Amino acid sequence: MTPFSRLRTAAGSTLDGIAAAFDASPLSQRRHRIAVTGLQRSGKTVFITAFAHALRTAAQAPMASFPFFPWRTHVRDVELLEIPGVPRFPFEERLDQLLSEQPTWPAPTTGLSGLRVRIRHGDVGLLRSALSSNATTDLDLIDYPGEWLLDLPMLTQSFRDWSLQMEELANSAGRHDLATPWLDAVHALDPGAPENQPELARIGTLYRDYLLRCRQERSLCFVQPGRFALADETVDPAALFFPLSSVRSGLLSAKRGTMGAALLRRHADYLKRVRQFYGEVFGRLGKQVLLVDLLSALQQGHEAFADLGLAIRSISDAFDELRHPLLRLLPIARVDRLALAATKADHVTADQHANLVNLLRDIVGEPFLQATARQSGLMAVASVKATTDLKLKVNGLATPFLRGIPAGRDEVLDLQPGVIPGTIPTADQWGELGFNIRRFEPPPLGPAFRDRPLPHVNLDKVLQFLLA
Amino acid sequence: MSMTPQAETPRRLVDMEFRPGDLPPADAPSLDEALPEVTTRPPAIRWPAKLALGSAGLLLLLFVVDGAVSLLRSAIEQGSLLDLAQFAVLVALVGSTLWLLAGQARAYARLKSAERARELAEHLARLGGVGSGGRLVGVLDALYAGNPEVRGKLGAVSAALQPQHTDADVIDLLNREIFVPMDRRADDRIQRAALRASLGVAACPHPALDALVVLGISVALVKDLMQIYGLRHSARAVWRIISHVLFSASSTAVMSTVVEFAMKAAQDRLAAAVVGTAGEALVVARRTFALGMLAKEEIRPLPAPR
Repeated sequence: MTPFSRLRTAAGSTLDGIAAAFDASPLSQRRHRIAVTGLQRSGKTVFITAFAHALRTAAQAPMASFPFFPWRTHVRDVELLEIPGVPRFPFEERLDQLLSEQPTWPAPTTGLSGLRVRIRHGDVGLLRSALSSNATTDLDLIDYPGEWLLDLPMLTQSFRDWSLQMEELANSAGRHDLATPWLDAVHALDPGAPENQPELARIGTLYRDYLLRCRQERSLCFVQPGRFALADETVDPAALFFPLSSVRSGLLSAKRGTMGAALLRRHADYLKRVRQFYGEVFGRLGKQVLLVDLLSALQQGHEAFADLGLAIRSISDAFDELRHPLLRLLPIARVDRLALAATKADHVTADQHANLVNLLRDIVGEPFLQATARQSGLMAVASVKATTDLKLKVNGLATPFLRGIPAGRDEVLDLQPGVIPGTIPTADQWGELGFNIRRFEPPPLGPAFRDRPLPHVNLDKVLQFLLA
Repeated sequence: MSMTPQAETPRRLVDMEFRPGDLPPADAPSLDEALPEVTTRPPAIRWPAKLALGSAGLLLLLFVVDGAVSLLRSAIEQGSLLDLAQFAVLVALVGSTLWLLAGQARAYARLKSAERARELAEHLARLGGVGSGGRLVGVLDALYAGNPEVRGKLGAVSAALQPQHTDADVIDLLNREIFVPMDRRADDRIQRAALRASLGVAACPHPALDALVVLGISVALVKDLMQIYGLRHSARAVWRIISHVLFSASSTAVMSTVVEFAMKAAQDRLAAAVVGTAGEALVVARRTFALGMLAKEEIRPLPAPR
């Protein structure tokens, strides 16, 4: 070996060593927290399952599976891990549910859980490429009950303001009959009377029943406190509280030991939990996915749709209010990427997706999009596609149809869901709308899809938007 | 047919249910359907330009024929072997040039014009709709009928398309999977041609040779671009490209002449030569690059991604 070739070998080994050290060092690791945000039954659990599964299978998948996710060619390896301090998201169980002989959609989420997707990839950027050809990115996906999201606006309101808003809602046409037992009980309550735990528990239970009936009988989603509206969640009677606008906080607050003071105390304790949740999930946020089930609300009718609009607007205002006043002014404080997804897009034909996206834009509002994120994308998405689009002849005209298994049935049918509006309909337009949006059972995929991508609508665009 | 019981016959199609097979499938849309809005284009070449081109060609032909006849007459009448040899070489030159041109014309005719595909793509991008992307793929499939590699990629793109993909999605996917790799090769070819043209002009001692170098490199560049994209430009575009080439070649000759004069007039001839030649080379490189981008724009079947 000549001196020059020895020098060349030594230089090469040194560079390889530096590269290996760099790969193992925190300098080559990036971490992104992706908050999957959405109200109850918006599809968060299925989204997280499909998202993680797509990342696991994307590298080996053909182009036809993810045509709009070209970043997947950089993926070398994917690992699913726990997030320290957060209960593990039951990914394998959820996937098994979808791939079983008789597939079912996941049950509603009842608690906080998370999944870390560690991706080893080749997209290292220009500067890093001088030292290493690989980088590692951790994506933290957090799942939580959608009802908890509705509590965020409460952090920006005093007890009195919140009570006034809830009482106004309870007296509205769509809720008054459900709220009557609670309203009658609370009108008879003297906030200055000595604290009476059984009486507070009785009225609190009546209020909770009213919230549960709003959810279950009228499909209304704007119910607060959100945790009280979870039917499976046990709530300590000593923690129950309810709106009472005659109770004031601050200098004119109720005296200690009174009913009013007890309500204020319980309200404050509840907000502590909400603040903790907000910090855990939405603190240090880089990217956000907001899932909105517009179609179910449309199908429920005017009241349910207006309620959804109110909920989304309240949540978007709360996000804005909760940021530090100084940070609100700084562009760097905004979320890097915000993906807004109108979910269950497979419940309408493909020609209606543009209307769905326009409706989503209308309900969320451009100011929220501009204020919240540097980049925002609106998409019609189905995390797991349960239907097939086809064109059939009806009276000589080619008409788009969906083929799938409607919910609660066990046979495949062809259905025409109709035309959905592209803007929020006015009150008098609701009677003229021509659609019938059905729910569908999961597609019978089977265990073969454990290593193959699941059928989806635009999940690849969400992946590309968030990762590339 | 419909499963809904007679007693509850719904009024709306959205309330009805059908078993697979109850309704006949709709036919796929025809590729030859006329586009609803087709903008009329102005005539490709105006008659004065046609007259100029035709006259120049005829004049060149008359010169060649006159020269050949004179040489032959001289060879026969005066028995000049030199004139006979010159006649033979002229015949060989004209014959081989015509053979080459015929070959190029045949190759050119085999290539299809990208104009129809580009028109459809621009139309679909303007409408921003969904469902017509398959027609664009069909048109491209017909254009590249003799190119199995591109047809294979078109097949892969077609298999990847889903009903929810908009026409803009289809154009993006076609660009990414098929035409952006071609763009990379085309850009590389254009840059090399610009470099060759600048070096060629810098090395040439005479302005007329400069013009020939630029003409030759430009024509070769356009030909290579047609080969890369597997398509040719439209008849309308030919005039734009030819006029650009002729302008480039003739202005190079003029520029070279001006530089020669400047060199002779300057006190420091060496410095004047270096600066003049370098400047000329830069301008030629830029013009060749611009020609390449123009030709690429005309040949590329889809609008380039923004």
